[in-house]
Amino acid sequence: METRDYNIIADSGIHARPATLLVQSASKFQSDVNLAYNGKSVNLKSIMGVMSLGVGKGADVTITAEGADEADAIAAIDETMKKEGLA
Amino acid sequence: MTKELKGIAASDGIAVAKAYLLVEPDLSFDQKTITDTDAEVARLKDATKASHDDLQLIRDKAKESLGEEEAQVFDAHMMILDDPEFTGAIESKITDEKVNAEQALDDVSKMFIATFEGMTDNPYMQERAADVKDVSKRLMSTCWVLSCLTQP
Repeated sequence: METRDYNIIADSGIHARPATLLVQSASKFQSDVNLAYNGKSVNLKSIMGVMSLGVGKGADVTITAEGADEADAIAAIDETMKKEGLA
Repeated sequence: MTKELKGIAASDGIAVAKAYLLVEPDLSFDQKTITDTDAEVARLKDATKASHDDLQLIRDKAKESLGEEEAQVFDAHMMILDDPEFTGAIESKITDEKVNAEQALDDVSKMFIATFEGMTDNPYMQERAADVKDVSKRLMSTCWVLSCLTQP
């Protein structure tokens, strides 16, 4: 299992276009990818799941990937997080 | 001999065009107990694919006539149809509770709508609730259309 912790710096948190790109990024991989925030964990391949978490600016989140391509998954997600200015 | 009539303009012109009747389809359904849940899940998948294809066509048309930004709302709808937690929840309901696709869809969409509408301090999430409502309605009516077509 691969794990990364992030502090969200984007003003609107994980919403709108960045959320969409994050979900699209995670969905490319076979591994199970989760986003944990505030004691709750959701499937990062689910746009509804991510939205319902309501991650705002300043939030501490943890992303985990588990599966055959977990290293690639985490790397791709990490790239998206940085590229979109989420963390 | 001419006659002069005085009046006030009530409107600034006339229009001649096709009149479209806006019909709200009756999407009421009965809850049914299902014995062949695999077939019911397959029904749901057919309706999901058909709705997705419809949305892609609408999206393409919207981009042409309204522009890329307006068209993107349909991308959001398609993402909801692709969402494994959304479709997965409906499938599980069909399999676990042995209900028809319409009932399962109704229950699951109501749940997500309530979650997003509950975020009252967040106007963005209120809009997402509207997206879920729209997509669910489309999926529901596609189920109905497809079941009409397959009736003997």
